[in-house]
Amino acid sequence: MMKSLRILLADDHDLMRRGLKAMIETHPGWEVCGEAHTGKEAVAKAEQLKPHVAVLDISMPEMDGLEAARQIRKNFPETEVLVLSMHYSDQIIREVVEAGILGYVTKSESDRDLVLAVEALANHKPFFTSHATELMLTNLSAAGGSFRRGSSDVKERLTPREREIIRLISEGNSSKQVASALGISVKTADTHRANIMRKVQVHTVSDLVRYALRNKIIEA
Amino acid sequence: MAQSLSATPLAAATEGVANDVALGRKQAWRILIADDHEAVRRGLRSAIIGMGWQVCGEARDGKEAIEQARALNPDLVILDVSMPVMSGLEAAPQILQSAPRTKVVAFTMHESQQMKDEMAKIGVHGFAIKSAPLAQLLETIRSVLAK
Repeated sequence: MMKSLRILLADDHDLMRRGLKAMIETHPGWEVCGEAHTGKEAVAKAEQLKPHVAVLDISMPEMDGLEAARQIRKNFPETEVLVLSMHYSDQIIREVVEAGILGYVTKSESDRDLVLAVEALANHKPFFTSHATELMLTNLSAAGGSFRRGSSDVKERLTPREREIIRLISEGNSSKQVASALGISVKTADTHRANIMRKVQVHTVSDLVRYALRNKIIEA
Repeated sequence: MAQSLSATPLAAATEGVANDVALGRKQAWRILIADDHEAVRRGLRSAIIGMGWQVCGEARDGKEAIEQARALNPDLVILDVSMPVMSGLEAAPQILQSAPRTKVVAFTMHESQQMKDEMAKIGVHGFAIKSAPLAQLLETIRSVLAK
């Protein structure tokens, strides 16, 4: 058993981060060694602090939790990652598993499962709730043994940049604002937008927002 | 009442508390937290205690919030709008009726004018967003209690 377990917490909501920290630090021998507000900051702090476990909210600005998790797993394989989201989603579960992430819990289940998940990950063991496991098995069985893509509407997978752009558009940002937020030209932002709408087969921003909600790219 | 010249919400909240003390107002307000997520309750608890206020109770659903408000007569209830068993929207009128001295701040994930209007009709005293900076929430609580 490790003497001291060092945990990095990443969530853009102050209140949630503070609460998760309080929950984690009541466990003897566990310490929150760092906090991050964005996915980008989470990756930087994982490199700097080398935590045993990184707990990442899926929905964060400047790189979402899934992309941050992928980068952490790829570049710092000793750090295990636990992804937190508001709700379950087939697509999220698929992406979590495909990225080699061993832990996934929803925030509503974090009351009872956060500690169990961190304990498992600290020992490099996976942690998925029975609900997530059931969803995974249903997917596998329906696809004849291989993991089926989350939504049958999406013919090509969205890139992390595209997911970020969907989030920004859903928040009401114009192409100019999206371009400014991402440090790209307005023309590039418009091209991305057109590609995204083609990929997810929608024609209006309202449809795009509905798609984003349905696929848990944004949370209601 | 002293005007706050502080640049940030946290400084404003802290300065507000100091002003209240200087003016002899009661500072150790008793606050009931009602939210179905433990992480949110813990975050609020830590922040409230950090301001020198007291958490007199916690509730996980609207029904428990009503019972606790009746039993504890808190100065203020932070009431999550979306909770199981009974929502904050359903619980708020009963809390206001059974504990008329108690102020209520509705607490929700996303800003919604419709929700704000509904809560205002019920008589809720303030409205706060979970995703806002903590300092803003604390300032909302302080300003509701100071009225």
